[in-house]
Amino acid sequence: MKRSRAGPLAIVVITMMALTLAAPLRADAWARGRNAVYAYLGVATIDADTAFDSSGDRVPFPGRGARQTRFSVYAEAGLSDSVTFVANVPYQRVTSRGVFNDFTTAGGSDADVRLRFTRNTGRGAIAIEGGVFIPLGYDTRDFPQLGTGSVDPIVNVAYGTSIAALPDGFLSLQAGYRHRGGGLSDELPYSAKAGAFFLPRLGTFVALRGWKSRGDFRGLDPTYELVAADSEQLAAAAEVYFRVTSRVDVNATWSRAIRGRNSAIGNEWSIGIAAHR
Amino acid sequence: MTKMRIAVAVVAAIVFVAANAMAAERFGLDDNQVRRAIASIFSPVAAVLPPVADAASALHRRAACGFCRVETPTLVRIGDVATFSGQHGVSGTATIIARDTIRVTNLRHDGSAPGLDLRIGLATKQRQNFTVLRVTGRQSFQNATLDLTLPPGADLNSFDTFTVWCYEFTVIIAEGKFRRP
Repeated sequence: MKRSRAGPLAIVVITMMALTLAAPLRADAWARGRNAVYAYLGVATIDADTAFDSSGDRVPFPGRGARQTRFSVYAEAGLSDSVTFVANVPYQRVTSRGVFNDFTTAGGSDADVRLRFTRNTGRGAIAIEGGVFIPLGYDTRDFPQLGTGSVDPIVNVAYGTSIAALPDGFLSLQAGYRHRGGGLSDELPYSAKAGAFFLPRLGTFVALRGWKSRGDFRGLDPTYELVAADSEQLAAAAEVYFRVTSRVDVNATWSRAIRGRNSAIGNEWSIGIAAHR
Repeated sequence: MTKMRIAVAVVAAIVFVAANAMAAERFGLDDNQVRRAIASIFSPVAAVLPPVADAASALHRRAACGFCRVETPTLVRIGDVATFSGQHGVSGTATIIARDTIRVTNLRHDGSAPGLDLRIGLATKQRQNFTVLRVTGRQSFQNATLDLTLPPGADLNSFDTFTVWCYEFTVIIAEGKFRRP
């Protein structure tokens, strides 16, 4: 019995599931504070035009490309001065364009629920998060897939500190470990973000974010199973905040992968509105 | 003198082969039994003229099947089997059941892969250029049986691999190479 070799389809599958990692996590390390609430409503879209193959080379995206649009309802609620409840509920519409036809799947993908414990230090805040990704009832036989269909736990550590030299400037670092089911290897997501409000209402931030799966099968015959368990990506992002009022702000983000393996490349745009009290 | 011996040997061979062919048919002897009989009868002659035994044996083979057409070796043969399995729950077995027919048995597909077709070709060639036998699209299968007819121009020398192909994303879903079972 012969296994199939990995091909572009593996990239498609990985792409659509991996993109859920780019959920709009506003959290950073700081605690929200007792009884404080933060709510975010946003939409993000990515058009995948190329992809990184198993060797990290850029190759044309299989078929005629893919588009993913994600609506997110994100909320943080301060349970105490140091404990914050975090939840993100996404609704996705994924279209994979084949040579002859387009294939679209839409629905809730993986909700993300976490608890964050923050400890303030003299120079900043250190936080540890724990939570799970919960499938929202999609069918894993759909093409494209919205997720693996498994409940994935995640732990995350974050550090945030002010940049005193910049107006309202801060630096935020995060790294985590996500268990992944459905034939995928566990992943190490990470991000770094820095910026400031150079104008009274306008904040500008730059970020690097990505993930690295624990599987590394370079040099082996790239079967589908191995490719599905071996992906990574590093993306650059730029983000703009505009403070509409003291309690409401809007933001826009652009990001694009700059290196990776077995993952998609495309311009990702997002826009959202946040309210907090 | 040598020519005479050859002529005698050839005539004797023809007589004995014909007699053996008739004996084989009359007494139900198999090919090996007839060959051993010929070898024992011709052993003195074969010692002097080795080609005679081979010629007699070949003549017998033709005589035993009524001077039918002798099969020439092909890349794959009737009865060869290719098993395959891959993503999207695709699996099955392809068997060459006639010179122009491949039977696929136990075919499975969970229906999640878009745009499938079944095709054959040489393992050394690009799958895009394989010969398409059946387009199944996104249809799901549970232990299905399909008889696939080879199109004109395809023969047992034109393929050694059976491939389940996704034409939407130009990728192999599953494939297997034909082998003797």
